[in-house]
Amino acid sequence: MHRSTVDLEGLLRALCEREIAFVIVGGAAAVLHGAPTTTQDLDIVPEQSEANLDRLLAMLQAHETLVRDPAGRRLEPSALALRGRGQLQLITDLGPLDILCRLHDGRGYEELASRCVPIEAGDLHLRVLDLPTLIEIKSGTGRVRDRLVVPLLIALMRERETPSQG
Amino acid sequence: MPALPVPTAAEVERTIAEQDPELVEASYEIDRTLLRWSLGLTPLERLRACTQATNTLERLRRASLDR
Repeated sequence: MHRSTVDLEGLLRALCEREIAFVIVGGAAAVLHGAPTTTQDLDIVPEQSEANLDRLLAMLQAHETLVRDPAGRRLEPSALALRGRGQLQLITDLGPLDILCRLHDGRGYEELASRCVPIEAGDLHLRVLDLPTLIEIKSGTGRVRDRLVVPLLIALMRERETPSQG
Repeated sequence: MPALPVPTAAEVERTIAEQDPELVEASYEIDRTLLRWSLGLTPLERLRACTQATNTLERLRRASLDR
């Protein structure tokens, strides 16, 4: 059963339980850093090794994942698509999941790995795009909805640097 | 892979201001109360609060469409 609502914790748990290597980008990254905002999906950049993508595909299949297709066709994500350079907008039984093989500027997992911070969310060990890089990306996509969140992220970064915040 | 040095907020502000000064100006109008509230939560609590708020908004949106 697919859901239009999102279970961010459930999605992250499903990915972590299968030991999938990925970086969290987008709105969920902002939230983990402390942005008081909402996000309708989880955006991740997966590591592109064959073994990792096999684990990711198995996780997607276990969660009845389909491509979010405006025409309403029933399309399952393919191994080929995961190995490409594009972005897959998916719907799972835990809510929407966007898989970005590469960002709009061409950066993939390897390039982003040095721009991540580890964040512990309960028992989940997550790798999250750091706040400056998130700001850089959001300000550079050219999309209005990304531009709108930049002031919040700058203010968040400033607030995090004040004593007793983190 | 080792993490690269993370720029400070002031450095990020300068970079963004060169491209789009309005974004930096707008950042000074953000309600800091909400930021402090969110920063007072653990990352897991932030995820759960976000999920709850997002799903409440989605239900409201759907309810308005059904009327």
